[in-house]
Amino acid sequence: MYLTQIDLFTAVKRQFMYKARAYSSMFAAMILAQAAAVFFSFAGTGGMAASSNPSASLALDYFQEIIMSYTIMWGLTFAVILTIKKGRDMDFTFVSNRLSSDLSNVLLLLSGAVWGGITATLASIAFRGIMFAIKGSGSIILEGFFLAPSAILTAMVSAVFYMLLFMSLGYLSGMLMQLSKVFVVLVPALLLFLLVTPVQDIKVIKNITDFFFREDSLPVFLLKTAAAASAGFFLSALLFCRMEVKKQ
Amino acid sequence: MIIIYLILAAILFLVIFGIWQKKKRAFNTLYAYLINGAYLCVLLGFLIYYSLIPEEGFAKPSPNANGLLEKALEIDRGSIAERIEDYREIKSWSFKLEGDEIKLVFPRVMDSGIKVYAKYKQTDDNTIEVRQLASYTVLKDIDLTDRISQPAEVELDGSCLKVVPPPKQKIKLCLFQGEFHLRQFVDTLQGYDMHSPSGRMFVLGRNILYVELPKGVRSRGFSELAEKNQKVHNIHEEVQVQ
Repeated sequence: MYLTQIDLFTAVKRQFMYKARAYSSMFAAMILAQAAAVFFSFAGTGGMAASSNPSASLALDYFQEIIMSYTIMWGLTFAVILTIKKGRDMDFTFVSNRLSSDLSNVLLLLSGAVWGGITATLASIAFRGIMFAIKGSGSIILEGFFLAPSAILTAMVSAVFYMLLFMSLGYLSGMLMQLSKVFVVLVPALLLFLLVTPVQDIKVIKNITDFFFREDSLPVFLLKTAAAASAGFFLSALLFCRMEVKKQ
Repeated sequence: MIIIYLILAAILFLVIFGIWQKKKRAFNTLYAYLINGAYLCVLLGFLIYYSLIPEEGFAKPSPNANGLLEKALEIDRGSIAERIEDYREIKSWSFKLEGDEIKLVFPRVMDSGIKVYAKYKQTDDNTIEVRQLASYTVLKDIDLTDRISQPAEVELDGSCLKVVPPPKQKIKLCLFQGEFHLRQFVDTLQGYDMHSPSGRMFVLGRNILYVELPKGVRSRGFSELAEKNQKVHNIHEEVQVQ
């Protein structure tokens, strides 16, 4: 017998609104991450220079924005932060259960993915605008600089889904780390191993990365990432439900 | 480079996490919304600015540039005397010569990058024809010949042909490749390979000063320079060969 009866939707909505306010500083931190990425993008990713005679030299700089990569790292951090004890304890201030808590977390990550994906693509455009203002049109190769509106939209949608994919991975990793202290060592070790090892050397990893990164059909890519992210969140939810209440 | 970026990113996220842990209570939600709103406005402002950038003036492939790099390579591989008609004329001069002697004054032969080639004409019309020619400077399909080959200063002072080479030209171009999620679905970024079928990416052309001397005039400086510096060796050869 309860004084107030609330349904799941209301509980999720309340928790989501509360968490959105509680983690608002994380959204502001994303701006810092993207600003840093724009700054580092100015360095370029490579280039070549030629000077066959003393009167002339030719140089080509490649620019590959790293804003999306930084935003993904922010997304991973955010997803892991959501799973830490302080974050989970926040749920006990509400009338809630594991499901509503998990759904509100997924909703929060979803909004983070949408916000991160859209702003990362727009920041990439901003970077091009700044480069144009600094370098002038004469120093920029037309090919690759201008993006059609449809390309910008495609980039936004794919960015959102990439964010979701990595956030689900971060969330699952965070849950695993909460489940057992073994994963606290194992997950960062695995991440470090993947960073220092060339992807093509490990067939399984190569197949997984090719499955997502080499898919050139947007609808198929969306299906793949949505399915993978859903699986990640579902697994996390299963782990979360098995966790003890107020587990230390 | 990637490792450096990752280290910087790791430091950045540690800072972000630290700030979040310490200051989250002090961070007003309203400020967060305001900051995010302002950020979106700035980004949208840049989007409008980007959409207004005109396409004129950008380094772009020349019309009918298909195979330009291969052609430029072919010209560059051949000897100058054989391929002179393929060179592009940057500027030309014509001087009336008084007397029967001509001397070349070329103060910066070592660092000018311009090679001087001379030959005698079949007729004695007392006119020195000077043409500055350049072979193609090409980056993939982008013709940069006119940008990199600036005209020299040439004047006839009595019997002295004075040449002042142009200052060193530097061209720095930026190629935007886009991030992985852009390249994956945008065809123009996906298929853009700077390398030609031969594996080359660019050809940095030659810059020459082609001097035609009237028949019978005595030349000085041309052959003298040839003896001192192998770079102008061809002057001597062509004056002798006629």
